[in-house]
Amino acid sequence: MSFTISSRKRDGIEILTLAGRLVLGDGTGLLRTAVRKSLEEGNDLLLDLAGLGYMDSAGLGELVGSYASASSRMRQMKLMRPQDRIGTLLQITKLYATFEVFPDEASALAAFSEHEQL
Amino acid sequence: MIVDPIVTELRLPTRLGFEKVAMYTAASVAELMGFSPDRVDDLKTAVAEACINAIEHGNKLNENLGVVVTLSIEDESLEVKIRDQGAGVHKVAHVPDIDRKMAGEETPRGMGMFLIQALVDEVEYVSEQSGSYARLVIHLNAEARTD
Repeated sequence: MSFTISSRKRDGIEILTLAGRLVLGDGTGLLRTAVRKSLEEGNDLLLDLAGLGYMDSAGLGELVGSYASASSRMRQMKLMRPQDRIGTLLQITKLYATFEVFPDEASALAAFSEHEQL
Repeated sequence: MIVDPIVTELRLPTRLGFEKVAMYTAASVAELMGFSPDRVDDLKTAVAEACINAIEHGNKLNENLGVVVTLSIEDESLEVKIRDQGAGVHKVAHVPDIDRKMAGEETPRGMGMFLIQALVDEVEYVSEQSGSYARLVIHLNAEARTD
């Protein structure tokens, strides 16, 4: 399955829904473009990983690069609903502890609100 | 009694995307040997990463060169050798500095060899005059990786 991204907004947060395989090449380029566009519009980002079945080290790197881009623009980026395999890769690379990862959309959106109140 | 390993060999072009051929072949062999689905997934990721390294860094995307993947079934283990015809990749897995990567102070790429090391039981990188290879081994009786 190839990689797709769809986007929607909720409570002022852009939710990017990732599906398929995030690997070196088309997938990583597509994600970079979508993240850049959203950040240029001034959005915070929530990446829904529920449909993401596979990711290689380039895909992991793209997530890290996206996070760094968001941080440099003073925007937030969080992840939600990773499948077991993706969660394992995030843990192996110690990224699970660094990214904020949520089991569902409600808790993720609540975390954005809490951050705004700080 | 020493039994010869059962060997499967693939010849891949130096073109990104063909790592999937090696990945799925390795998965099929590992499944035949009775590895658990989690271990098969680990091997698939490690083999794909090693092939991408061979294509990108070993052969430097030179389509005149090839990548040979050799899968050897032994009694209790599966060995996968990924051989390129280039000068070789780094021999020591780079442990990524996640904080520096997240801060944008270090390239976000460069986690492949670290992933390989974390996912299989043995890793070895060998450079020879004719090229270099990565040797990955998973053992049937190894404990499942703990996260």
